Amino acid sequence: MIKKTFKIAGMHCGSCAMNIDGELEDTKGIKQSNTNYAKQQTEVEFEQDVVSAEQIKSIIKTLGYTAS
Amino acid sequence: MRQDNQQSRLVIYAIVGCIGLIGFLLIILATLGTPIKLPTTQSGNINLLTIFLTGLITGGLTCMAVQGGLLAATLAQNEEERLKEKATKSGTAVPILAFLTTKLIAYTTLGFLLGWFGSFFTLSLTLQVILQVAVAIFMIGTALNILNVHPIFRYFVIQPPRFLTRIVRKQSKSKAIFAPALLGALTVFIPCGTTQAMMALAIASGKPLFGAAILFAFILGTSPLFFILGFFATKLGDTLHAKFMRFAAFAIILLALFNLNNAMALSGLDIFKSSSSVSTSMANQPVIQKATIIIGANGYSPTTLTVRTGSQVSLHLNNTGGAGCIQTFTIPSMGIQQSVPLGTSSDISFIAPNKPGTIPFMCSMGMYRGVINVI
Repeated sequence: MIKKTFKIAGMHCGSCAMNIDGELEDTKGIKQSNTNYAKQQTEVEFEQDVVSAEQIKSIIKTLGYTAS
Repeated sequence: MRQDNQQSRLVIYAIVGCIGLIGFLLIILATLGTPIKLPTTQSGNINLLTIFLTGLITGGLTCMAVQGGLLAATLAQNEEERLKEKATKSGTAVPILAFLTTKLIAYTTLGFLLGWFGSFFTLSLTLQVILQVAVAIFMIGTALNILNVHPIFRYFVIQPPRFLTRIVRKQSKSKAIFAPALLGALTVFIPCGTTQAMMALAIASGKPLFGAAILFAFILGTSPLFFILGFFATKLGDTLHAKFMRFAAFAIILLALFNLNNAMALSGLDIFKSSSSVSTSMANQPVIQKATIIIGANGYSPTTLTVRTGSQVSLHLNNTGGAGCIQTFTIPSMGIQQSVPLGTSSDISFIAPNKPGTIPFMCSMGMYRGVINVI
């Protein structure tokens, strides 16, 4: 289980942050996600064997935001 | 997940049901024509139906300037979420309803406390000023964020705590209602105009249930107009979107500056005084110790008075036609604030300062200004 912080671009409002958390925490392998609208970043705690950082980035991309 | 949906829905129905029940009971009280007897210094009996109608007709407007702007700012913060639910009317209505519901609950509770404990629960003038300034800052911060002026303004967006979002995650509506619901309850700390007069009535009733009923009836009366204006404003916003958001941001800034200006007047600071220097023409005014100020529909009358330094001054305030904030006569530099509901009168007295100068007076929102010249 590791923790990684991703920079998120494209969040226009507070609910965007909640959307990202909702989607990520529903994903198998992701234990916790903490998205901060003000800081424009998300901190994700996940199981590397089950899901990769790249996969997390593409999930965020499908929601309409870019992650790096 | 479906369980969570049903659970939160049940909670919402329970709350709405309770409010409906309380409201129903209070309306029965009103139609039975239960008059609320006030202390003998005030004339007439006032019943709940009159209070409700006051809220319906006059109560909303001055409040819209402060609370409406606040609601607009919070709605603007979640505009993207609402746009996803563009198809449903409920996507627009639910946040506004959340705001009005928590506002109603908060004020009814306040009315209960006012009826029970009296003026212990009213805000001091200083706190009122601080809160008005805080609201103005919040509104400007939100507006500047909408205009993308600087990333630092992102901190003005209210994000609910993590544990709440986890519980009701699938209910997308609840994401958008947290901020409006919170702010609706917090409006109890920024009462305006007529609300303060109603709070005075609640205190005068001396009974917690009457106090609760008075504020419940009044806020309920103000809600339809609030809802209609809010609903159409956001619907319009959703259709025009980008251009509207810019316009909304500037409108919010203007409203905020208007509030700031009034807050400054209320604070007693002479930053924006129009003309309160004692001019020679004023020297012809008779020096008084007792005077009557009529609170009318368009302002206080007279707007200037002249008193002697160090003298005891008594003012009889008679409200013959004033609705809205004008009902709360305020002398900021002396820390005096007196609510005089429409149709009633009240007396205040104070000792004029020992040095010549000017004492501005105004309504509780810093408007309808006049001056007392001290010579």
